[in-house]
Amino acid sequence: MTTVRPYRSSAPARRGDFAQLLYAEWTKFRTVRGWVTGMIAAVLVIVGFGLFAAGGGVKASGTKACPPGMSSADCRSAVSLAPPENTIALYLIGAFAGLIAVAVVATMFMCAEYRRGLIRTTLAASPVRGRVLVAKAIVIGAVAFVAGLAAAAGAVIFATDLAHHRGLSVLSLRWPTELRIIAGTAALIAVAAVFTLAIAAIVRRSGATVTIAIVTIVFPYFLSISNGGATGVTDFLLRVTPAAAFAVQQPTPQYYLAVTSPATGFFPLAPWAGFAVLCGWTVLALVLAAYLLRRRDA
Amino acid sequence: MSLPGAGLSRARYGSQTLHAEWTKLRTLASTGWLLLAVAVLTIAVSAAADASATCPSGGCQTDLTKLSLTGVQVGQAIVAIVAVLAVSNECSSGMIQVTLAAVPRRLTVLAAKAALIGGLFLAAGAVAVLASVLAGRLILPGHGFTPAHGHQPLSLGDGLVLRAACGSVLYLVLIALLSLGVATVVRESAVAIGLVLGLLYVFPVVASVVSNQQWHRHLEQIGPITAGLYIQDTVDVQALPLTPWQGLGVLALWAAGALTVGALVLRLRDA
Repeated sequence: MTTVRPYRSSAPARRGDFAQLLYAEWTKFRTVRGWVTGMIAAVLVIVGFGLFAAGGGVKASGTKACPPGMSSADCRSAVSLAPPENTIALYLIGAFAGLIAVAVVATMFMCAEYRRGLIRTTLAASPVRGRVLVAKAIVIGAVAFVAGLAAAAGAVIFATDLAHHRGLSVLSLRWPTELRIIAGTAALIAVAAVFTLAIAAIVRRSGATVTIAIVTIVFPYFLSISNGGATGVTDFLLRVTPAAAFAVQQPTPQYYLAVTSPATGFFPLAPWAGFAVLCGWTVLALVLAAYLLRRRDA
Repeated sequence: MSLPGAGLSRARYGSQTLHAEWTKLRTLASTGWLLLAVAVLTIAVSAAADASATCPSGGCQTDLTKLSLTGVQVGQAIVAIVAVLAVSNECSSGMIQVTLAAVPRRLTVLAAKAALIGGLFLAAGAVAVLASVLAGRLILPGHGFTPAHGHQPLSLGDGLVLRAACGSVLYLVLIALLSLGVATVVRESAVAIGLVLGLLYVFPVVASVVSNQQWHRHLEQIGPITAGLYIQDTVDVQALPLTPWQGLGVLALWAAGALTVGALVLRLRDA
């Protein structure tokens, strides 16, 4: 009688290599055409809106209305202090739309596994569950950062070119500020993608995930642009929700005349403080996601 | 072997399909919660907007009707989600194949879904909008919007307020139909919700940075939110780029376009 010997891999037994896990997640991402298309779409949308903003600017800078109760001399000096209409931050107006596309991809990156039940295969292959989450977060964060950087740099370069070509003046900023706006936008998109991924691991349903991500990150930003009336509410929302991170796009220090709104380029929080709010939410979501991933049946 | 429902008259066939769709929608736990969320969010945000406005010394040009209907802008996001899920849930679980096997006339299925979702939001929207107007009527006089300052309390007896209120309900219904059409085309709930919310938000945001007056005007004329919400304006209506009903018509065109593409795709594509 022959004994059946169970198969054993010839590879030396060791705790799973984290690099292998990363490579596996990268393969999953890279081989789904829709996700890659989604990322490319995000880049194109951001660049396209940048060009649109530069193309739709008027040559003479518009006159600003003086608020009631301000003498005309005061008003004139305040207006001359106010920045011209065109800064590179204006050309990154598409970031919110690109962010929606990235959020959808990040959602699918997690939820697709739950939909098909493949998460059980993933967790069988890598039983230390927290590491799967970390690997996924690193992959989606890195991809979103690269896409965001390409998009932001492309939008700024092409749109500035177009603006100069049309004879528009673009306020030149010091290079650290420009770098902060461009790299900050990429970081905003990357961290938002990780935030979305964590939400997806918590709620596990794609519709709910994308809704939570868009309503918390994009909606307050949208509300503060579209709604001139209730500035108290939108100011508050731009301080406490993940949308605060859009502050990294603020081009110049704030003067007293301007209303805080992404439309005027001013935010209630300082640039990196706003970004820190998003990071805080992301860490919270990741911790909760890791806890639930460990505790729940997949 | 005959097709399911082959012996039925067209009207009976339609009403049975409607009943089946109603059962599906009614027995989902999420539908009720989300409908409640639409109403509660709309009313709460409207009341918060009312409470944050003040007019201490009179002479304010605030459009009180529009202000007290602010919540519609938040409620519409939930409306879009319910409408998207009504289609995409079935597609993601593969149950759409069973549905289409039972009701082979595919357009009847889509029409039944559209009728139900439309009716549902007609009801939920009416509750939300009426309560929002009522909240405005109760809250605003306490914030300086008194007859002494030239502001009558909101009343549906006022033709303009009535138009804004009815129009806001229709606005929510049209947003639902637009979302239903988009979801029928793309079928995946995350993508559909992203597309719908992106489409809704993109026009106001881009319009806000385009300083060219003509472009700005055109962007506001074609945006589903910007054009559709003209229906809420009661002050300085002549200055709007479109009349209120024309604006709602633009949104209706968006909804009709999305539903048409959805119907075409449903008809031609494998489920």
